[in-house]
Amino acid sequence: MITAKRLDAPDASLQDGLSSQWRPLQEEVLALAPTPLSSQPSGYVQASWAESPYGTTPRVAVKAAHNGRSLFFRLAWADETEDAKLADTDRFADAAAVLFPVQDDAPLLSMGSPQQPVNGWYWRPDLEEPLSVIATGLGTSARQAGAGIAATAAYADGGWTLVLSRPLGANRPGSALLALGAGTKVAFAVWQGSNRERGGLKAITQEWQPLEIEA
Amino acid sequence: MAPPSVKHQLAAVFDMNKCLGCQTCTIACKTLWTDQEGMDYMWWNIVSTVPGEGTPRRWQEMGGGFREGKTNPSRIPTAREFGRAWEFNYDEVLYGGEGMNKHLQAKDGDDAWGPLWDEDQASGDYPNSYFFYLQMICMHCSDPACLAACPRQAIYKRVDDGIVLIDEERCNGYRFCMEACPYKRIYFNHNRKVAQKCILCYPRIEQGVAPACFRQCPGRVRFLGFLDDEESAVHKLVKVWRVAIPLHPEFGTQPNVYYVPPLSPPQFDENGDVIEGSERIPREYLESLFGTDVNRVLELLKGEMEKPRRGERSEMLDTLIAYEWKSMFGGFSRDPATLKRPAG
Repeated sequence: MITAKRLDAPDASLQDGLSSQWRPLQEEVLALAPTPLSSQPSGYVQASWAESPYGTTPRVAVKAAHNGRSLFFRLAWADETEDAKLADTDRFADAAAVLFPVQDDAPLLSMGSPQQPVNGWYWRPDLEEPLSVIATGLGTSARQAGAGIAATAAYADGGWTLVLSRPLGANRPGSALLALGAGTKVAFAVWQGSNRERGGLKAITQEWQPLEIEA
Repeated sequence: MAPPSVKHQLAAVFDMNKCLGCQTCTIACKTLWTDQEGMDYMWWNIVSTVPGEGTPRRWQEMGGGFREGKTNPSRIPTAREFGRAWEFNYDEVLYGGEGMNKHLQAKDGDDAWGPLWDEDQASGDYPNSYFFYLQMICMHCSDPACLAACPRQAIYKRVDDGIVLIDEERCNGYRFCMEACPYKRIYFNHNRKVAQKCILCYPRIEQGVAPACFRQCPGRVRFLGFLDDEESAVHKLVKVWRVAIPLHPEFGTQPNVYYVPPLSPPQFDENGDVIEGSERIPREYLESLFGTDVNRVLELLKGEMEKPRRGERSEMLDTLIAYEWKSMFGGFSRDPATLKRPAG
């Protein structure tokens, strides 16, 4: 269970993962595991990654909070290599995402279904801003403009600390309803850039985590 | 995954015997499509010297495509292998006041390799050295490995003409296509973070105009047409006379660029006399590019060339010579100057 505590704090303070506001909040350490190779929606990916490990980030530490206006997630994970930009044509950046079901029964490991979309917040350090994506199955994610997702990330001491946030409420048609006092579900994913992880090649919480947004 | 089906397939024939290596095609493409930031190192069309390392460097050894029907894993060429677009120290050399002490070089010093680095570098020993030119664009394959590799269905093959395109709205820059393409004709745009490649000038095609590299070729090397258009030179060369064959058919993607393989001048002996019946370009090398079918084609071409010597006509040779350039483009011979330019 992840509980987004209500904090009387300005956006800028919560958007900073190193701010003291975050310190007292309880941390949930969630195990991550690779997505199944057999479900990668590309025969090339299945063939070329059969012998190579991916989804190599074992865990992510999550805290959540809101200030009545926006919902914030603070993600921290160990990563020995900082891949903040695409240094070459064959290099990839680290990335992380928070995923919500748009309806409660949306399947996680298939990234939703045609009738059951999921809504993700995707961060990558080389992108100017994080993306909001809607997916209705593997390989279907589409960008959603103007979702107002904010990201602040810092790499230090062999790890990333990332804060992702979005205004509360269903701020765009099709996006997840994130309302005060409501319960929903959430999942997390991390991509290891130095291992060429991208797309479906990622480490993900294998189940939805219950999320409570304090009234 | 079953290959995508199309109603008609546009195809190209490149006659390697006519190529001058002038790169007019390369520049026609560059100025039309890849002159923006993030595209500076891209050469959607490139004419490499062979035998040689090519562009990207040693691409033929990288794998990709399908082998015996199975996906053949590969890797993404690096920017250095593609050949980076250098900035030169012109200011320093021309205006730096250091005279002969400064020499022209890449500003970052990383100039150990570039596209066409081995241009016009021959193989073999004098006086029997040899080289020829290999013209490369996207092969617009019938079974595109790039399309099969993309987990997002961002690559599609147009039903009406078989042109393979990347939908940049769907492309997330994962670059599995760059891995999978065995001809290594896909580039990564670092600014837009999407994969990009030759589009066979589809906006021109839609207006009846041949692609820029075809139309601008001063050597009349490039033929265009629908494979099933019996009137087109491409149909005759590929399907009827079978004098144009695919490059690296073993890559398994069924490419739609076909090549008329190069004939050789004869070798000289130590006295400088012609060795009758000899060929400068080793057949083994040509077989490594085109498979053993190249032998049939070369014998076919030689036999055909005997016809005019006997005073007979050869429709095949007349077609390859292309006395009338409009005969080369399968109906796509509209003058681009007659097109209305898009606004803005």
